[in-house]
Amino acid sequence: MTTSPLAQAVGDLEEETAVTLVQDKLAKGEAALSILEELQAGMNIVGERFEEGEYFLSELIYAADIFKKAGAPLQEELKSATQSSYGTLVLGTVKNDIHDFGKDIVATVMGSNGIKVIDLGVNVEHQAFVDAVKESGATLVGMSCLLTTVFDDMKDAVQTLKDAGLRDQVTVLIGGGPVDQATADYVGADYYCKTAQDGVIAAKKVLGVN
Amino acid sequence: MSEESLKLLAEREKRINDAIALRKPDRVPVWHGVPGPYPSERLGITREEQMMDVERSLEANFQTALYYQSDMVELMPPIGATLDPLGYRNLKWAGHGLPANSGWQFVDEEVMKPEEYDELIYDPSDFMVRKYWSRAYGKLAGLAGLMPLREGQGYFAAPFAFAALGTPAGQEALDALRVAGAVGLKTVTALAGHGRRLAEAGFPSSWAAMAQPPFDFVGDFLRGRKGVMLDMYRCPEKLEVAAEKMLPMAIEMAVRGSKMSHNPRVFVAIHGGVEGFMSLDQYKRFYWPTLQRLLVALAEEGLSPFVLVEGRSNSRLETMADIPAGKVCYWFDHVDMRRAKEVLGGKACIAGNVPVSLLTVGTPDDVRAYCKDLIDNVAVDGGFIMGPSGQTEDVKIENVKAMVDFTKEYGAY
Repeated sequence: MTTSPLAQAVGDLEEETAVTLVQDKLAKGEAALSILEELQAGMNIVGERFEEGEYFLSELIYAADIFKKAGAPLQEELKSATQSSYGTLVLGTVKNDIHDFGKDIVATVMGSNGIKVIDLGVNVEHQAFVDAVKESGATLVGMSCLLTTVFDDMKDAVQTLKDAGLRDQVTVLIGGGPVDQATADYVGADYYCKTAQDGVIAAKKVLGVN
Repeated sequence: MSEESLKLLAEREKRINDAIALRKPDRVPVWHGVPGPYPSERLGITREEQMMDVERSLEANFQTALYYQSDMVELMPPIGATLDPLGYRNLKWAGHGLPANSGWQFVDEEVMKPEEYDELIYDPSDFMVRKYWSRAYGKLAGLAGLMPLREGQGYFAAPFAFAALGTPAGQEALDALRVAGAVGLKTVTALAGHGRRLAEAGFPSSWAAMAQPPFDFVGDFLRGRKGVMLDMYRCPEKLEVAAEKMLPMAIEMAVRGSKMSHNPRVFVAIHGGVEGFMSLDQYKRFYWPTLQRLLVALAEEGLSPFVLVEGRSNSRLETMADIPAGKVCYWFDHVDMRRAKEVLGGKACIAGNVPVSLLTVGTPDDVRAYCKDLIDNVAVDGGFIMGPSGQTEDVKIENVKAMVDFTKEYGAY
């Protein structure tokens, strides 16, 4: 597959080029959805470079911001498009933890990879995950924390999903500074995501997206 | 001061200073970190009291020092008492936005917009009062209406200089400042007394003065983590100029604090340049230059920066070695300590690295095994201080005790 100039611009972090190309395409009457797909292809390049160690968190954040800025003029048309996301992720930092940086990165990176994010914020009550899944029909739940002390809260949040009969319906992804595979086993999550990009890979796998 | 305490104080002080100067002390020095769970579990002094109650907080620190009997005492000052009446937004702690048993947590946010760099660079002090204070402290919003501080000249300016303080928001700010001022004075006075009390009991204070690395000053308090990362791409020159501008202030603050406290060790926490956050090239361009000049300047003043290197830093070691020998102590979180010794040996003292996770979930035997490895392979010819890898908020008391006692038993040179 050849890479389009727009995807390449996003991949190479060329902000002005990306913004201009989107405007040109809109002026030519290209569909917002197809432009969005090119932007997402650009984010794939960024993701690959991150995985390979060529890009760091700063690049990931900048790319997500370019995506947001370049994609802003598409939003109006995308609202009426039927299939603008691959699936939905309910996301939050678990109860008793107020750190939002990692969680926010996941939200932007997921969003720029075609996954709709319902961001519940920080210090999220266990029941709020349940309510959001019921309301949205989300099949993905992302939980974040930066503190070892809230592993039990994370575990309880997963249990609350189970008690509500939703555990089979959703895939639980967890991440955050002190989190590792042992944490995922302990809290009963399906995936441990070391980075936001790991989260994208796991989410796409679950949703059957290449 | 008893003769015994005086002797202990001198021994401990010498042990630490020898390690920092890359000499071989009588044994490996060790410190226990912040009080952690000891005060709440053993003394009934809650986490909230440790932030809010000046006397009980310092008592907690003192009793914890007596219990662990390590070589220096680190203090988490009871800052909540002063922050609370001001409505500070960027820190939450037990009973103040967090449950009773929590340590404190920092709230990262964008306080300064990218288009405000020029204003910060033009007059940082004015910016701090009218922009930073008015935004970071909820009760000080009224200060935003003040005339630029530099314009408060002569006599005709007076009504204009102070008019904003007459508004309801200005009055609220003054009320909050009155309360915070009283608590701040009480805290500062008590801290001085606390340092003397520790010394009289034979314990050196780990450090008293602090210096904020210029890049982290901008990232932590002004632009937020995301903001400062975007600035590296969108307005790199302004970020660099701002960091340059902050450098002499960081030096001044540390030198003054050290002179006042007569403690040569200066605490410097670095985190914004860690692996994962930015590339090595970005580290070398944006993070290290002002940090290095800070460390060199403090060393030239005869001080010893005690640098908490948070996060992972294996790829930074070569860069971090470019400092005057025997003046700096790097306190490591996650790093390959053998490699750190190889690269920094003969340059900097290295400290810490006993993982807080191990101190939290491991057993005393696990801790002893980890410490033994450090003593056998890293502490070998001096220039090493044993300690935790970071803030020991939720650790097991018996594990910290094992770290201290084992190092004292096994760590003789």
